[in-house]
Amino acid sequence: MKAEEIVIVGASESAEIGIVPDVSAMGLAIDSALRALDDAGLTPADVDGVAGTMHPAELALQLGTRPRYADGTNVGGCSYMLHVRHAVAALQTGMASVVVIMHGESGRSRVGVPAMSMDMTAAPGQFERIYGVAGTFSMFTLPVMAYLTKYGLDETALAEVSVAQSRWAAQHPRALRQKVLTVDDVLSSSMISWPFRVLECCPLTDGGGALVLTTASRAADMDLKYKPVVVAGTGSLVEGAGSSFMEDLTSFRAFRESSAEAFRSADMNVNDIDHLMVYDAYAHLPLYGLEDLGFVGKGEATDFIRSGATSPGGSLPMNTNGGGIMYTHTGMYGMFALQEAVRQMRGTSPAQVDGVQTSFVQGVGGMFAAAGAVVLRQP
Amino acid sequence: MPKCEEHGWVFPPRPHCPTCGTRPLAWQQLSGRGTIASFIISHRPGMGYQDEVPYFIIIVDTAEGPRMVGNLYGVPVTPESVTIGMPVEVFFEDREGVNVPQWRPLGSTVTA
Ligand SMILES: [Zn+2]
Repeated sequence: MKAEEIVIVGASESAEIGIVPDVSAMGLAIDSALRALDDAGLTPADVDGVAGTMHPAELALQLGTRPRYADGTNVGGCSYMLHVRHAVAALQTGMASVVVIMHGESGRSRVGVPAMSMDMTAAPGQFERIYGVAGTFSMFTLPVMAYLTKYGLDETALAEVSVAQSRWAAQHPRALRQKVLTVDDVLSSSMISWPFRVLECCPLTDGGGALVLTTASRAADMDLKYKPVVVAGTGSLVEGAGSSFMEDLTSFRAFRESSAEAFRSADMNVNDIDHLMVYDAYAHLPLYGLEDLGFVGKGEATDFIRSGATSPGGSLPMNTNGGGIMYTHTGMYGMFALQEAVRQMRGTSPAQVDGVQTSFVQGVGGMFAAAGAVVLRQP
Repeated sequence: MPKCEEHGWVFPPRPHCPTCGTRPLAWQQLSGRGTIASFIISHRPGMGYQDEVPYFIIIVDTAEGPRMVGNLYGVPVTPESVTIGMPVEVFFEDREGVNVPQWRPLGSTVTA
């Protein structure tokens, strides 16, 4: 028996993103959830499944529901891709009928969140962070010289990623960084963690986002503002503890395996994809992503991006919100990659690409620790 | 470093072999040599490194195989000082009472 189709019927970011000093992390999540429910004419009373990286019981209480289904999976910024994957299974097996996936993070203003601390007890704490790791910028970035050296590339490879994405961000009024950049602009921005400049690193922001998923048959009875978006396939893999523990410093196994499973479950391949989002906390991730997902060969991503293929008007529009680096990066960016993919499917993105029939969203969690992929298509 | 007789070195250290589950494992000494697999130069200080920026954070492929993170000492802190594949050797540095493995070019005698 073929499993029932699962669709996204609600999707929204919080009213404000970027610098939001007067709303708590939970407030951002709940604001997003209410907006996403409104897309489908639903209220909290209709929700019987909740998911998020915040405590699911607290999310349920604050939203106003007693869910039959709760998913608190937290493997970092790609957790929302895993929440989508798990929600599909839950909806197909009747564990829930309406699932809301919520994200809220006060990454910049730190409203309603515990003080920042680094876990020094887990493997990355004991064997990576003790060596002067000041933040994700000095650990997530660590494998890149192995990659650049292997393929005879230099620092401009990273700059090209930011340049291409800045062309998309310029079309997004909500993007934090909206200026169209040149390679020189990027290379002359301040050094954070050589070879990474500040314009190749995500900023830290506040924001929320939510998705509402249900079955296609249930959606047919709803009063929807937008046509539903079908979750065509998903995949995930938890690879390990972090960047120095990667199997291969020049290719991310969790990208390879989660994307392969997503393509397989969607019965698609790279040639079927019109639009791509690759989680970019730092500028090397789209390079790894393009190669590990199979859109280009090993070492070819830089030339592909430099050619304009991923820029407006190119053959593979990628990170069309400007990516985490330009648009917003609350800490766990995955939800915002999913939001832009849904906008492109609905035809509502400020940087809308014509005729998007399919979108592939690839997330990374931790620092090269986990990955989740979601393939979307039109009904 | 712990070592399983059948499946080799276990890093990060665990009390059992992650392949076959054997426990306990005996600890054995490595040669202390390796090559640089990747690196960054941190311009923002991490905990305890306030007076050291900029400084190298490197990944070392040890001669025996396991990959370890550390700092590199004994060369000017510039990208030109380092190449991927450069041979290095371990020394131990006392950092706030903890003896941590650190790295220097093979043959160097610096101690941080
Ligand atoms: Zn074993």
